[in-house]
Amino acid sequence: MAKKAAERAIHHRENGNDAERFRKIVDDFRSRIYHTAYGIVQDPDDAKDITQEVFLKIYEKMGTFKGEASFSTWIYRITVNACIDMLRKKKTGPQVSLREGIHYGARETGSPLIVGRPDSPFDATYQTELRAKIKEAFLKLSPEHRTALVLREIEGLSYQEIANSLECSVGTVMSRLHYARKRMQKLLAPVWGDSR
Amino acid sequence: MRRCRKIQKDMERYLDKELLPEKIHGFEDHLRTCVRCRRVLDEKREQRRLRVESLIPDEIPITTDEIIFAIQGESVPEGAVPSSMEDTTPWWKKLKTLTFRPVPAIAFAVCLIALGLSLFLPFGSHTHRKPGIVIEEIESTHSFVIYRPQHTGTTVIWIVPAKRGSKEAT
Amino acid sequence: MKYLSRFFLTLVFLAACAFFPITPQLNAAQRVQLEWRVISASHQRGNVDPRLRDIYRDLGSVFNYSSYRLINMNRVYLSLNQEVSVPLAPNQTFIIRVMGISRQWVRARIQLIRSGRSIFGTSVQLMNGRTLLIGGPTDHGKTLIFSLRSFW
Repeated sequence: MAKKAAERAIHHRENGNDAERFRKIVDDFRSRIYHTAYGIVQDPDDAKDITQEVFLKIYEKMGTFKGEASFSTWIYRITVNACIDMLRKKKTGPQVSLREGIHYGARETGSPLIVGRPDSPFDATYQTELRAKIKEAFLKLSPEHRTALVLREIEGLSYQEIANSLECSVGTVMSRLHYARKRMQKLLAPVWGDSR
Repeated sequence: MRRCRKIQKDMERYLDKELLPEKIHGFEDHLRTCVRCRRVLDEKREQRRLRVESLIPDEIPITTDEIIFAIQGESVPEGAVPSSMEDTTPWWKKLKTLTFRPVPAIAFAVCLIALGLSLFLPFGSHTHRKPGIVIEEIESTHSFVIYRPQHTGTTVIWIVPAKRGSKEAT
Repeated sequence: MKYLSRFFLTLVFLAACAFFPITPQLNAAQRVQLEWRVISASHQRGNVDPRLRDIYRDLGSVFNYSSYRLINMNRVYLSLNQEVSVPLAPNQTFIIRVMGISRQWVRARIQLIRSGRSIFGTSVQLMNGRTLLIGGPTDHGKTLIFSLRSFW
């Protein structure tokens, strides 16, 4: 299998198709990789660096791709590893600092969420602050939990695809998702009220 | 009530589209009749929407061309050909297997001679050998330092900020 | 006969290719490819932009910064007397003008304009592939380094 892939890579190189093939890959996966990286690290510069690094790795390892997993699973695996490496390297704590004492009135009004687009400047401010709060809570999760949540909710991968990308069992994926959501719910309870 | 708890436990899996097919029917039947569960599901859906909205970037600040351009500067990847596939025959043995084709060989030799002549004969002033970067003139309102590391072909011009007065180049 | 004519044709073509760049009149119409990058350097947590891999060795051997981030980069083709303006930071711009092109060299005039006033100008001859780094201007506490290379 590996031999076949390598032969294919050589064939492509000899025919001058490598560059075109690689461009196609970049076109197809650029936004997915950036979204995943941004989702996990929540920093545009780091996400950009990771995207660049992931494509460099893809370029370097294109010939060794064994075809045992799907190509996108393989790419997600490289992306996730790069993100986790970056987070470990930086050992970041929460990046978002917010003014303390913002009360959203969720409990008071009994209406936990503002649904829909902001209509007034006040709503726009509320939405911005809400986003920041969600981001802050998300950054308190461990890299593994963030990854599971991003791959499921942003990238829309199935449990099986996530398990393949993270090289773990479906059970582990489910438990990580469950824990991540529970913790997010707990952290954001003051924001949207715990109606359950 | 117990049924509601069970249904709410399955909600995230339902939203993930991972609820077992045999459970979906009962789940949706219950939602049709239970206002409370429907409200909880709507809230969960909305929270998820907000979560996604908050965690995705506003734009993708990196273009395909930028990525390709950055990588094109790199050398040919080592891993592109697995080591098991690499040809280990020494180059001098490969020479024996080459077939001599007089026409291209002579043409190549002539071309090399022509190229050599064009490089070394003084056809024009531009053929004189000079160092990598020549600074012809500088005008500056600030002090500046020129630095040429010996081991690289790089030249550095450091404009010293007006108030600091010390250069930061090592 | 077929071989002979092919031989002469190849010969003429290759000779033409070899001598083409030394004809000064033709050089005048030539274009040069310039690559510039704007780099932000700081002493913050060590982080080097992967797109600076090829010049990181140069940067690392000259400067003592620990973080290098690429702010902007581009490759442009310029003909003789053409110029390109490179925004460095708000109110700071580099203007590069090609003053001469030969087979191995490009002569360029580089000017740093701050708030509409030229505060630095230099004329340089760059050999193919060599890097010129101009550093010193700052933006929000970070030092900016401008790198320029030419390619044929």
